[in-house]
Amino acid sequence: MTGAFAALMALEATGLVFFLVFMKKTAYECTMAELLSVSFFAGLGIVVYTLFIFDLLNIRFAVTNYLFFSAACLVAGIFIIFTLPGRIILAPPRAGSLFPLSLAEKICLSGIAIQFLWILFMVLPSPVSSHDAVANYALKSKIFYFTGLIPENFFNMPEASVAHPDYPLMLPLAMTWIYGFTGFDDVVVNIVMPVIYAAFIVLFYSLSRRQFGRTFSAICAFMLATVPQFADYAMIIHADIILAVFITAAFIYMTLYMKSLDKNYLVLSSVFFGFSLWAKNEAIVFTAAFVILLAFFLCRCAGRPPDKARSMLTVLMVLFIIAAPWFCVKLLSGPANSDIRLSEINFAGIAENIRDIPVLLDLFQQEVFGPKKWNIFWILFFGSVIWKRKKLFRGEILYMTLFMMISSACYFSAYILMTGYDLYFFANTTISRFMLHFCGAAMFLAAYLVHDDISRVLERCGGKNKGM
Amino acid sequence: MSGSYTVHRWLNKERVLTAIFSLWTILWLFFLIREDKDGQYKTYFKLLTSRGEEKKQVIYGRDLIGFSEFCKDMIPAGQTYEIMGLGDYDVDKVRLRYLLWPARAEDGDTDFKITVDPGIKDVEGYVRLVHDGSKGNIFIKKDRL
Repeated sequence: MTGAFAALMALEATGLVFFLVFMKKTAYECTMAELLSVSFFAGLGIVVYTLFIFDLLNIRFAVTNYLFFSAACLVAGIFIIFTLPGRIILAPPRAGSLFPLSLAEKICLSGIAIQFLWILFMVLPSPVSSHDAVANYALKSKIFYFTGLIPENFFNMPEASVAHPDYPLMLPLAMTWIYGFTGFDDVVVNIVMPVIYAAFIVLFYSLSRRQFGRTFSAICAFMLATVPQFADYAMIIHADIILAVFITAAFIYMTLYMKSLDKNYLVLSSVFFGFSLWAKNEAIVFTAAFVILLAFFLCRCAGRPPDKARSMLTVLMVLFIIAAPWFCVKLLSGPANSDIRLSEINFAGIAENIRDIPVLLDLFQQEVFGPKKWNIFWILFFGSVIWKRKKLFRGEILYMTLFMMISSACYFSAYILMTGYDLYFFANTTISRFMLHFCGAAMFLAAYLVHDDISRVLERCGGKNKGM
Repeated sequence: MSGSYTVHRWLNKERVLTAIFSLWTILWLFFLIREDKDGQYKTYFKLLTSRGEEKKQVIYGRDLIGFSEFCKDMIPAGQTYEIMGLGDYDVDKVRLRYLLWPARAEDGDTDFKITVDPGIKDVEGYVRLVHDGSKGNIFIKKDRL
């Protein structure tokens, strides 16, 4: 366990240094909670990116190399932080001190703590065991750890050898990083998932606080943390929750940018979208939606055209720098996707899938109304959307709504274009996971729609809901 | 008129919010504590009292672990094998594949054939290696003998 702790601390420290440099350079202000949680995910992305570059440079996956890298980042980062002018500003939480907590806040905080401890206790004694974890992520990390690199023919291995060699490698490489510190221990490595879960809830709360009051943010964080599907995926080695985390953070930063025009939010949003491309292939859909909507937003908003072009260029540059190594290797090695093979898409297959749309819709309504996986999350989400339908296309909410619509339309199209299996089998095994990708962003959109009404009620009840 | 006024007064936002929050909390606690699979807690307590490789035996099954140990002894690293008699998505199949790395699972003309069906005693072109046969059998390609 000490090794895993060291691995996660090295990852956090690496991210922290990068984020502090960013804060100093741009005078970006944030709370300690946001600093630590963003640093964790930045560290995760940077470490995965670095391991991939290690492989390209034929540098072995070994703890000495990891430590050398982290130490180099620390030294360089500290040097830059001290030489750059200005100072790092840690903003205080919005409504003053953290205490006293209102009753609702106490309940939410206790709920989140219970859920987190539950996840931790379920995860700590268990070896990697779930189907996809063993078939895909854990097997890949075992291969990388024992080979010391990504094997030469890895991306062209048949499905019988390793599942989905075309999938992005964030989770397997993160596990390889941890194995570097712990040795091959597929019980301890599970700890990464509860840590990701906890860091995400802290991040979600701190980003919500940029927009909402304290009690309302706590309620939103509590509801998201206790969605059964979300908590369940924090107990198993799966990349879906990681994608959900990166997309949610990117989505919230995008919204904050569109509301305030603060370019720091735009950079952070693009960084999260960029790293999401390392988590799962589906991130392409969200990132494309982001780029399209940003172009649309920049065309509509006031400002000088050169400034707008610079903003767009910055985003494209960040996305390119982060995603280029993965996509270059992927394009050059040409691994096949087992679900959608472009060469096999034909009219007959599409027509068959279209005929099966009722099956897809039936599975979808089971997810929405069935409380086992989602509690009443989707009922509340769609309820908020219907209740506040007039707000859906106003201001920055327009872009949030369009983001959800474009990305869900792309998911729907993917089901129709799917070639690998029959639609029922594919949808039945994927729909709840795919809905997980949307749930953080959906939570924030629903919160955005109803917060005026709910905050008024909470104020009457004595909660703290003042804005910043 | 007075009835709808009473309903309206009763259905104020505080009460709706409290009702939603209470329903959410009740459903959350119910699905949190409820056993998702039969014997989930029993398995969990076994895991708590097990150490190291025993944990894998609890989750994967003693037979599968024993059989995988035998296969690991028989199949050198880097050699190929095919698992027969299990569907593509069978959890035992992916667990075996995971446990047996660095031997590599493939389809077709492989160095070894593995079957977890003890009933399969012969595979054409392959010779059976000795095992107690309780979980399965392992065969080696004739020209590799």
